[in-house]
Amino acid sequence: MKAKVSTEWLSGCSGCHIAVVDLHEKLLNLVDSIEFVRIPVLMDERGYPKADIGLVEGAVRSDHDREAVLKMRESVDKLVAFGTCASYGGVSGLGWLYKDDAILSKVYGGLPTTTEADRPEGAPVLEHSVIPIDEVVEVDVHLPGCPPHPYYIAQAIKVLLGEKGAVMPAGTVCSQCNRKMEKRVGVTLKKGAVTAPEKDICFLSQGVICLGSVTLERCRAQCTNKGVACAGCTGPSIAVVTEPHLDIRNMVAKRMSLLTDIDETEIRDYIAKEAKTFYSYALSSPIIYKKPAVEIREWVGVK
Amino acid sequence: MSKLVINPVTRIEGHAKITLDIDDAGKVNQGHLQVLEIRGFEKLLEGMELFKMPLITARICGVCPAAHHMAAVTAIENGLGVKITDTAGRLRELMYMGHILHSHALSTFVLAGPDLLLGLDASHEQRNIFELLRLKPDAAKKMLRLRSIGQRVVEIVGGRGVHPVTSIPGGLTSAPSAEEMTSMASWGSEAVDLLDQLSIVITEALKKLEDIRDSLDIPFSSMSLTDNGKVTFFESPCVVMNPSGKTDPVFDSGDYAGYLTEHSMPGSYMKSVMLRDGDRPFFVGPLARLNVNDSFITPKADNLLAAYRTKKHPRTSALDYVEARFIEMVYCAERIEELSAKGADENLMVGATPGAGTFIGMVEAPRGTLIHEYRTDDEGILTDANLIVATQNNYAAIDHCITGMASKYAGTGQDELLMSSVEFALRCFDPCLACATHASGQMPMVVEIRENGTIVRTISRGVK
Amino acid sequence: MMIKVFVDEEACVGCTLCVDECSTDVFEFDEEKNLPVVKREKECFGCFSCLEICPAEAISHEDAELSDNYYHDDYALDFAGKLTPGTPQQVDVKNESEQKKALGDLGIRLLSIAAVFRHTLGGSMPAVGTMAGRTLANQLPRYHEPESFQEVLEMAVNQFGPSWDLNFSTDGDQLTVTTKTCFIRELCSKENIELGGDLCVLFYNNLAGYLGKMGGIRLKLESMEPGNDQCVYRVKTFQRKKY
Repeated sequence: MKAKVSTEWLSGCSGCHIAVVDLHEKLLNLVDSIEFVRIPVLMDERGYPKADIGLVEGAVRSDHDREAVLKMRESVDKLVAFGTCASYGGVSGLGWLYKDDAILSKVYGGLPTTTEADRPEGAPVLEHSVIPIDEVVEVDVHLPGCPPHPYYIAQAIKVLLGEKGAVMPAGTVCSQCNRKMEKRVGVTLKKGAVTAPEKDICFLSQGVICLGSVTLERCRAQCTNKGVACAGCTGPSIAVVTEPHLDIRNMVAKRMSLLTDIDETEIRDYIAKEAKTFYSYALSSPIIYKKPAVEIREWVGVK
Repeated sequence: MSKLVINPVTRIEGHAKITLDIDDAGKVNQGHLQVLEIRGFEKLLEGMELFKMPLITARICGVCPAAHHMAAVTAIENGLGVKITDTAGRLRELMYMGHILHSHALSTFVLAGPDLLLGLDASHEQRNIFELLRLKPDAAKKMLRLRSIGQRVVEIVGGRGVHPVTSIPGGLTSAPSAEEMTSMASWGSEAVDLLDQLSIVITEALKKLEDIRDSLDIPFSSMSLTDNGKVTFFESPCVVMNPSGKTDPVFDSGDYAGYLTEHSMPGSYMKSVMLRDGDRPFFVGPLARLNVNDSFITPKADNLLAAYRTKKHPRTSALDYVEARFIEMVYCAERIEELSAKGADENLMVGATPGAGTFIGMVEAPRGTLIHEYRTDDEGILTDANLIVATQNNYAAIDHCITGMASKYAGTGQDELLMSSVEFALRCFDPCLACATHASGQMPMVVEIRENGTIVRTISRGVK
Repeated sequence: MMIKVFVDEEACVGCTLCVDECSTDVFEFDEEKNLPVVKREKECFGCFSCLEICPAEAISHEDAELSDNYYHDDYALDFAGKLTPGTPQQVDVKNESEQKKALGDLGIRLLSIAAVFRHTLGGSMPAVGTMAGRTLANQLPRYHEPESFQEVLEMAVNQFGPSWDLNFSTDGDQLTVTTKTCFIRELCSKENIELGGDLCVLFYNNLAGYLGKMGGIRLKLESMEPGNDQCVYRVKTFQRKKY
């Protein structure tokens, strides 16, 4: 019998759902072993039918989201936090830094095309923050990624179905990256850069901050192999997750300073100063904000 | 007076509901879409590095990330005065054609396909792509293949399918291999063939919907970018054309704030965009693009546009979005073939350094004109951001069509048909609410019927 | 027991950082294969520098505990397990005797630290607790600024639990703090250490520094009543900011 899969979409962008469709013809193979009983983007809804596997995309932002994720938990056997927003809050999670009022003042009144004091009347009340779904329900598997590579979506389903040989590896983005880490001298820190001239050499060796070495690999290192430094969209590596003293900032700074002659403090200071850029995908998760080495609010300057 | 609320609405991008105000005589006074969530990207982007914008703003939407990716990189390059190389420009266009093809195919075939092919009166259990695959496997497989072709082009040129990354300030970080270029060229011609085969399916489907054409009429202006009368998706002057075909006004991206203004709407986190002059509503997207522009630069699309033009100009029924989208898909397929056949060299990047300034860029997203504006300090850190998104531009038109469609069915007592039709009206615009509120989530559908402001009846589906 | 060191050759990126970092020269780099080779495994004393520096997380160890148990956060370990389903976890967080041992271990260390503070700082020792509390208040993960002192107290209950089961009651400017569960008390009773010593002082000052910073108030300790079931601190509060 086919395993039943149900999905839900909370505060996120629907990209994880599109990533399922991006299995292309492999989707049809997958549909041989599973049956989608609920996909809100693609099907008219029929409540929350019972299913073996539930994939939940997005973070919890409103009462609606909270209720939806609770209903998903009740209706499925194994619940997967699907994508970085569900596991860590993701980009939506940046809202964690602000009170609602700060966001609403900006959006309704603080822009060149808005007029002041033009809040929408009667719009639903928001939760006081954006939170990862495991703060509301028990999660069985975390499949972060922005979005997770379709390959890993298939792998995760296979792991849950108990298929032999299916794995969710613990490696970082570096483990799939084709660039060569090389020791260099005379390198300067390229602040604000997203790429580097030499295509086959590690970004860190070229003075560009790349978060590949502190980021779990659920992406096949697509960005770095196509010339763009890793932004950490999958969330922290296993070492960062499990070891309280290890953090994005200090690990990248240490590695980069060993590969180049850039001062470790300079790198650490820079990452802290631009914390909103470098921590944007996981800062609303206790995995990051509870770290003794992380002072996000102070770094970002939002109290 | 009564109020009808449709909640949830499915098969569109975002969380929302629809309300209908109905008076005692059964006349629909006003239909209104309400978007229920907000992420507030304008605030979230503050304090981030300028050059990260093409990567992070893509995360606004999973369906049209490439549009935000492109708007961001365009804004930055405009502000820095950077001119990218021909190769980089060509490859970006190639990726973008793939993107439009993916998004249009998703909208036309996967989201609205069940409405079109199975009819508005089909039961809602049937109206989804999986049923379509079962009932009309041949057509449905072709439709999915078209979307796959588009998205594969994005994967190859953009580095990733969802949230592409390779277009960065100064050009493109990586070029496809010669083999990949050859494959894409062949996919382009395959897509042209597939569209040729599917055109009859769409024409037949639209014929059956002719009786709702007038209910979906939008007597508003069209707004689109134009390359001297040719359809373009990239930074160009923006033209507004009124329903009688007169141009008024034309503006450049840098001046957008002088021409456009946003208003909040009751019960909704999505803001509506109007023309500042006279607070006039307008619509954007494929329908507007084919009103404002006279031609494409590819033969098959041009032929189709010429035929489309013979019936009426400018077109003002939201039903015509479907046909306009189809013609644009043909253009994308032809362009994918052409651009891939040209090959690519390694001349991809010119220098670009972040700094202080105002950065404004305007592109045509699949759903219409998309504007990004950033302001930065001396270190290239964002102090302000403003985003005007296609679906916001269409808000007034969407409400107008919901009202029109509800008026047609409100008194008939056919609740299911009423809901399907109103949803279809909405789906014509292919609204993307994730984008529009830079918010998110899915769209439930409940219809609340209110009398003198109080709810007297609720019709819903899918909600427990 | 000898520690075994493994390099995942698939994942390794050949950066040589492990070769540099290892203080006992366990690795040698094979230029031809572009891989580090484990040459002197018996020299490994389990400092895990190589594991930490490896950008690809390609190095693993067997027969060595990654770090002491007390050091780990159950939530984080559980989370890591859910990121890599099917892979066995190195630390068993659910093991109760391991947890007890870890807490005891931590307690002994805290007691010695408190003693060192007392010896070096003398009467200034409580200030260390206050400073630590203020720092904690700055770093505290929170969704929003507390709107009242009551809310500050509620936050503290969440923040300090489950290590300390805190109860607050207020009466005008009087605040009474009661702690029931307390691992320091458990440890003290096991090791026959008198309650109300330096560690208790540090604990109170830490809490006071935290509450003061969070709530914009000044706290003055009036009495401290340690006990075998619960400890009570009576405090007078002075407002510094208006809500």
